[in-house]
Amino acid sequence: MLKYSGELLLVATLAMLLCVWLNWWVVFPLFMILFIVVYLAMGAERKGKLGPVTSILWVVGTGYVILFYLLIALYKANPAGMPKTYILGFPPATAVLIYGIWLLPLLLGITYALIFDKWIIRKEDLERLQVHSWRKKEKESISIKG
Amino acid sequence: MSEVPILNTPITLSIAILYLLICLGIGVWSYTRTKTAADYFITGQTIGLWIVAIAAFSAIMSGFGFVGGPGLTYKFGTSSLWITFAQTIGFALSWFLLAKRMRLMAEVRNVLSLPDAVAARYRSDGARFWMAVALLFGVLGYLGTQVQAMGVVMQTIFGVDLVTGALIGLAILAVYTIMGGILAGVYTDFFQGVIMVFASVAIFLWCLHVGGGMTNISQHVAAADPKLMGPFGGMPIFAALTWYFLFAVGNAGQPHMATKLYMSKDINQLKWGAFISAGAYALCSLLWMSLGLTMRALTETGAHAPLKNPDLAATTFLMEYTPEVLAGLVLAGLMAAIMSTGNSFLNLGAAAIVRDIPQAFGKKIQNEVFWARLATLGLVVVSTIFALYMKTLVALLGVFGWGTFAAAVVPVVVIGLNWKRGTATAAIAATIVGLVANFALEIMAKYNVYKVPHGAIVGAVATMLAIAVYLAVSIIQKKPGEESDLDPDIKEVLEA
Repeated sequence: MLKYSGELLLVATLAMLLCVWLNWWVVFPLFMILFIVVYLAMGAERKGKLGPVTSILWVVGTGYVILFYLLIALYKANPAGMPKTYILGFPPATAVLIYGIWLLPLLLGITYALIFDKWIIRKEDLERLQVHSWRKKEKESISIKG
Repeated sequence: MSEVPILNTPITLSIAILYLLICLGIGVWSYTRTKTAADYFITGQTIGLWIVAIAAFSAIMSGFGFVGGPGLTYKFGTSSLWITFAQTIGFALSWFLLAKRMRLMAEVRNVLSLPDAVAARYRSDGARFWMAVALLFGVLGYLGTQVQAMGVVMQTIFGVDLVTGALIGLAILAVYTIMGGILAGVYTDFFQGVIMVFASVAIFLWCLHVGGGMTNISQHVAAADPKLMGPFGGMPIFAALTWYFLFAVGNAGQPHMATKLYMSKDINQLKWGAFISAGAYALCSLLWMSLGLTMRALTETGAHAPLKNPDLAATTFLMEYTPEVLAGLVLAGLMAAIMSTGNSFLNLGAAAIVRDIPQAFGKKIQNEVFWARLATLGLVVVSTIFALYMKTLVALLGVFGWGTFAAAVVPVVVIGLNWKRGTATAAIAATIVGLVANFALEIMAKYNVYKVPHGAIVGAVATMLAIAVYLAVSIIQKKPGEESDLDPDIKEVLEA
């Protein structure tokens, strides 16, 4: 997936545009979710691998698909009628938006923190980058001139 | 009764004045600590986790969120919740895609702005120039939102007319930004962010109390029009869905958020940033959701006359249904939201004028701090004129500004810092397409020449077009496995 991440993002983007023009609002969320998952994978990958991020991508991607299509199904069951039931203060489809779609991504914030030291940035990354530090180069240049 | 609610009681005036004095105090303190361009534009990289994370969320939660959001919810029901709810995924994406890269970029290069990062990534002054131009237009649009929102809030507190209110607020904003640059902004962002979180939770609970619980509020709003409480609200379905895309993906594309990521004193401090920012924003979304719906429920039951201007939903509720201390705190929170974002934009705009555009032509301005301060003043004047000319709802002007940034920054910076195939040609093409598409579609819609079909949001379509152009041009120029020309240090940043 990562080798062709650019191509996948392009397909997802063009598909979303097509959905807008053809009013395919039911299909649109699928391509939007594909975009978000690939976009996230691009940010999380290290040397072409996803490591511990793979499982959270599956959880978020699958979670989003289930939630969006549950919302759509509930909406289509009663698109403009008075709600018959309320779940924690909201009609069922709106409750999916509020308690599901809104809150699911908080898992990503927690994941980021949990994998930060092992995956996001490691000590060896910082040591490798120190060689290129502009402050270090500036100091060296000043001491050479001095 | 005045059409515009006025809440200039002693308590609210005291809280408002105290808050403004604290902001000015922070400005003075920052002035004494701001010596260099690095201090003025990126705090000299001296700030810790909580300040970065709270400042990042606070910059995003602007007058758009606190005045415009309830206004949209009042008018269209749940439609606009797709904007605010997108930020939980939005901050997560920003951290995964940008946090590390931006902070490492600041280690290997002396970057003070986004165009600096663009120039380093693509080795192109053309890309730098166009990014600076796009940022400048986005700044003017977004500042216009803050001007309008400020006018509404100042009107409520001090009982002055809209224009005078906007000018008073802007004057204070201009003074502390000019004095202290982003250092003033970041510390006031933090102070303001804390106020906003407490104010939002308090007002949410008060709305439930006044409205008789969420179910009761929902039932009254649905009785007027069931669609308002449906998942997509009263706007077209594609408005909701494209808003979600624009605000989720576009969060990382907001330069006032992204440049905060340069500023932490230690990269390891970024660890909990995503959760803190997303969580704080989620708490503030409670106000966006509850206040507009509660006000609508009150008008539908006849407890209050319908509002002529939806942007008055927040201030009307504060004036007529909220204890004075809470109202004062929330109004301080409103001013906080507007000023923290306004400060960020003024700094961005000043950097674009004084650093990025001249550097794109190989020129370096001497005494950048002095000229940045002057540019800040100019931006305040121009954005005020722009806002008064546009005469658009606060939130919709904010969406325009957000879309302008997203279309320029998401492909070029966010994707570009995570995808080595992105080329300079693609970056320039995408920035221009995003800018032109956003403006052209917005102007054509305003004058009824052409509207994006099915209610889709212009900024989302412009962002998608810009992303598609960036990817397509890069894919044509570089096959899978090939990379664009990268300096060795930039390559290390992209591979870290």
